[in-house]
Amino acid sequence: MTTELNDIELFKRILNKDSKALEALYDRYSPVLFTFIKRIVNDTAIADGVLADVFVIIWQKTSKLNFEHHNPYAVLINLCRNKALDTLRRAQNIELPEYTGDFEDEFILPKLSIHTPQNDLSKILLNREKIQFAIHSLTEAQQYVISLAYYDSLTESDIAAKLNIPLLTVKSKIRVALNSIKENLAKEGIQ
Amino acid sequence: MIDEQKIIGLLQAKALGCLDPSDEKILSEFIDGGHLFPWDELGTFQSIASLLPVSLPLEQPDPSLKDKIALRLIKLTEEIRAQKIIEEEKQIPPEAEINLPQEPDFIEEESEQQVEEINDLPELTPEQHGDFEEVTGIKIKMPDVIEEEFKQQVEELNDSPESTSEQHRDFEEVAGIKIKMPDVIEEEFKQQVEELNDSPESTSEQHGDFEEVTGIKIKMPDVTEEEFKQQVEELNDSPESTSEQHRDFEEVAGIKTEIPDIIEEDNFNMEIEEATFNLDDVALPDYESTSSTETDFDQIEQPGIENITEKPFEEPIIETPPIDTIETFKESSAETSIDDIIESTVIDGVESFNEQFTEEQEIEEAFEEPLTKTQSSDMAEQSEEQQIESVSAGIYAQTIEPLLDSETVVESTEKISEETTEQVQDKAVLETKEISGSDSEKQPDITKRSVADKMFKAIEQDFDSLRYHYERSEAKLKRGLFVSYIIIAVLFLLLIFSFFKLSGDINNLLDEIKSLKKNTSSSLLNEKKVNSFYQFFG
Repeated sequence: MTTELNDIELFKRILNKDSKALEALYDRYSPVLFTFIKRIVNDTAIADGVLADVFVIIWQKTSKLNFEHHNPYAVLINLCRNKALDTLRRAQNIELPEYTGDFEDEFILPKLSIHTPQNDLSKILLNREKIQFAIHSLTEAQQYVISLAYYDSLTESDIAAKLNIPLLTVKSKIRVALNSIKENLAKEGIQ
Repeated sequence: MIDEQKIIGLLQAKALGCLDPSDEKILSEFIDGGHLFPWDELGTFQSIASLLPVSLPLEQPDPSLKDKIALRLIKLTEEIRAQKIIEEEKQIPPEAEINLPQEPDFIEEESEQQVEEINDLPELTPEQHGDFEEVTGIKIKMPDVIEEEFKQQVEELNDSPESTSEQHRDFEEVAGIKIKMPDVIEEEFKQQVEELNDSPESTSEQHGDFEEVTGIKIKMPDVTEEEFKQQVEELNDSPESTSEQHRDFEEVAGIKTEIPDIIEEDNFNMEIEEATFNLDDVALPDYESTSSTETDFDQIEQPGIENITEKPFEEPIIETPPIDTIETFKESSAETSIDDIIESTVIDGVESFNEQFTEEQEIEEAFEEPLTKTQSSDMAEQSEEQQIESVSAGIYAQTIEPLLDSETVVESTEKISEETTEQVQDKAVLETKEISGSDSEKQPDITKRSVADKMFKAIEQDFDSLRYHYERSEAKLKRGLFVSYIIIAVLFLLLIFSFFKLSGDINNLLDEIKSLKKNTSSSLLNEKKVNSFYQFFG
């Protein structure tokens, strides 16, 4: 029953503390989220822990995720990214504020634009090959810069320092890369 | 004034989350400044950025992770509940303090009195409790006093002889309380089961009926199992105890009786204890004890003797040492002659024996040193005396018949042996005399042949031993030669090697000298070289 529901409906049920809905959400999203978290933390055990933390956050703070106004998929991806990066930084003994509920609300919960286009995981997985084509159509340099920015959470200046290239070059590469993906996806009719 | 194009240029980095702090500050200032922010563009880029993980090859998490998350959520909910309860408890006391003064004290006292009165009623039922709850609107918690009364009622029911499970059920239905079977009742049931087992007509059907009546599944207690074992032992102890009776017993009782090993061991031990390790007294099953007589024993032992008599006559003589041959021959001849006499006629046996004896005696004489004339004369005198004593009496006919009919075998055999030895000696004396006389042409041929055979065998053995020693020495010699050849070859090779090496060194030295001669300009050095050369090889 819960498996037939879309992401927003599942979130609504989770909001009403429906554990079956959370289970259905886990079954649906866990492969994508686990793969993404593992790509960031590069450790299976840590990835498991982060994924568990994410679902606990979803269960506890569903109302704060604003899933009705946002894209649920984008919310979950950004939530996982924030949590994974925070876990990684804390594991690397980087000085960070104490992890409290307020800190979680402020820095872990994603802050997305209200006008994020609605998207569902089932649709995304249906168009997976097209999305992959759109991403792989970028140059290797663009792909590398984007991966450093998105998965390794390096700022533009960090990337410039790491690659020993001008900051403006990094900015332009990021800009051009995302614009080209947008165009490619628009051509495929996804966005 | 912040340029909008610059802001739009920062959206991609913002969506990827790689914006520099300075740019982040510019964006926040722009948003806070009340300018028209391109939220749609930002949303689009954020959506595009979130699609990047789709390009990764998907991996499945650990299946146990789901359960871990579930457990963690359960713990969290419990913690939240506990926190809420604690918070409520913290909030309730001031509320109770506030509410209590509002409620008059007499109402509480009245309600307590009513509860006590209801509990004191003997015919108190849960329905009445329900009515009371409905009327008063107060939820009554069952006091401990009522629980004790119920327990007493249960005990009374159990104590009553007609106490059955149906009554228990009725009581449970009336009281609306699930009664846990107390230990007293279980003991009673066990007693009933034992009674059923003790009764001669106790069958599994009755057990089934009992279970149906009481509604309680009876687990066979250990006591009844022991009784069944005792019954099985009784059946085994009975002389007519058979496997069929076991089967009948199993059919009647409806219980598979497996004969325990302990019973079998006990029976076996009893037999051993009674037997006191006397094998003759041990009565094996299905074995008819036969009294072993001496004659039967002799019958068993006799084939061995027959086999001894059937052995070739010459074999023990060859194996025995030459000095004792005569004595041993006499003994063996006596033993063998006894059997021959018993089995065949005495005369034929003695004649054949004498023939053999003479042959062997001659062989032994041939191997041994020839007897002296005095010894031979003494032997002749002894033989003559024995011959006079034995032949004159006509012993054969008298001795053989008592021997066959004699009670003791030993006496007869001794007599026969004595007689036969005497006869043999007489015969030998006579034959020696005859040999020296007229029939001297035939006997030497036989003796010569046998002697020749013996000699040939002895020579063969000597040859064999010589051959063996020769082969051994030859092998040793060959081995020594082979080793010596190897040593010589190695030495030769070393010699050749040293020769070539030495010659090579000499050649090298000569070459060096020649080269030195060529290279040197000084005449003094040439002279020295030449001198040195002549010193070495001069």
